[in-house]
Amino acid sequence: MKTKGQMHMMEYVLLSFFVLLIIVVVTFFLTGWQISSTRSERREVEYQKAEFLLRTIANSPYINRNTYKEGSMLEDSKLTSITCEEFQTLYGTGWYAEIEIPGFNDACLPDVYPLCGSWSYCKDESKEAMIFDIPVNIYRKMTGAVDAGFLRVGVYINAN
Amino acid sequence: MLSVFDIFKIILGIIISVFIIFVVMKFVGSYMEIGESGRQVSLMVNFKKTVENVYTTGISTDFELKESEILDYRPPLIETESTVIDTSPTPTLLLPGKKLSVGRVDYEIGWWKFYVIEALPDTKIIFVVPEADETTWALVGNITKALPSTENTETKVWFGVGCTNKTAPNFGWEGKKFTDSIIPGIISIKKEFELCENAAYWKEKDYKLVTITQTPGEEDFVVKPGDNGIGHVYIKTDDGYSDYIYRNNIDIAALLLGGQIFYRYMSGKFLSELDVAASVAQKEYGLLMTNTEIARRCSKDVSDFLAILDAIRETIPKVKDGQNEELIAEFAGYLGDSRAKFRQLESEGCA
Repeated sequence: MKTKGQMHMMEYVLLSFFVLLIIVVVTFFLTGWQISSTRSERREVEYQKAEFLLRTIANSPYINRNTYKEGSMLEDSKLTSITCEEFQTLYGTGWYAEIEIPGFNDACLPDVYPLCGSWSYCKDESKEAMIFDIPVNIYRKMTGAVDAGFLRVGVYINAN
Repeated sequence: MLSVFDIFKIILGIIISVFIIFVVMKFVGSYMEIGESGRQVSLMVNFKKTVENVYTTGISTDFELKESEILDYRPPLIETESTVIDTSPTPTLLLPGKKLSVGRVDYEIGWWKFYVIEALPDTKIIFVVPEADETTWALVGNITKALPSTENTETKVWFGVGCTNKTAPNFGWEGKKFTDSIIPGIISIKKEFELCENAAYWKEKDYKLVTITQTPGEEDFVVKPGDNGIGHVYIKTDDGYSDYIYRNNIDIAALLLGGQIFYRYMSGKFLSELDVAASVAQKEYGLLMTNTEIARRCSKDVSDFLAILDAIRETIPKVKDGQNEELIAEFAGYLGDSRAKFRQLESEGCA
């Protein structure tokens, strides 16, 4: 009789224990899901920043040809003149940009201009970045020719 | 009759049930808070995305953002209960409202363009022009162009001119139609206007009155044009009037929409971006002068242009506080000269 009563009690205790366990597991699951959702939101924000920078730089009046209203016609003299710090004043920090014309490896510095076809701004090789690129045109100011190239923008992951 | 064991079961059951209900309610409460915060964050991130899209494309759009969502706005920071959004790097002016028209305004001087995003709810602006001369109408047109034209959005910014018989403004046009058709029409018929007497009534109806006159009186917002595109804006305060010197129409728009806070923010962005543009232009033209053909054709005009850019860059730090009218006039003169010189360079094929 006593044993039967104890068994009844144990049933209740065990039942309560399992119900509580299920509640705790569900709580942990939902919290974990929320955390992973927040991480994914952060990735989304970084993606949005990269997309914005890509479009803004491709159409930036600071490096586009004045007469070309449609954008994506970058001017080599402007690309050679603007610096990383000036870009950061305009568009903030935490990213880098590169413009390259295939076949031209020389970095465009004022002393080699215009015989060059590669520009790099604010690149830090030690940092991981989310990278996007698009094709752009580069107008050669000295000759009037237009070369095809691409613009690459990288947003540093976990940067400010 | 209940046994001891039965009583134990009942009591244990009640305790456990209460505990479970308490835990579940607590969790649901927290989860609802997290959900609400998530919704607000998502809304503000979408707003920032919209601002960035309009900045890069120039295409206006509507956005629903309840005024109650925003606790405080000091550009570039928008504060809500759950988060603070920084609209940088896009220069943005926001007037909270249920539905906003997000549009881009361009300021251009040939060799430089400055874009401003303005997010406004339904807004009604009346230009009060008791001394309607050429300068006044030019200023009316320029201030209108410094505010978004809302042809493509459901949310509207309406413009009008007043007053007639001291009470009734001619009102109800969007920006582009107002500047392209209405103002020229009014000028052609030489219509005259007076001060609007019942300004308090229009203010109650949410109209913004912009009085343009050389003799400021008791009006809430007065623009007194000067020379070279600069002048004064007087804003009525509890203690009298605040006096601001405007350098361009974007300064006037910033003061109209948000007073000193907007003015200082926009002024800072304008000057820092102008400094970058002038620096890039100086280096660019220096590079171009290394080409003997361009140097032969263009060296005199390019030298003049570079000298103007130098002067602009030197004056920028001095006009940052917006207090010295003489320096600001000088600065405005240099900007005008740079525009004229750049046009000349373009016409000669040197730009």
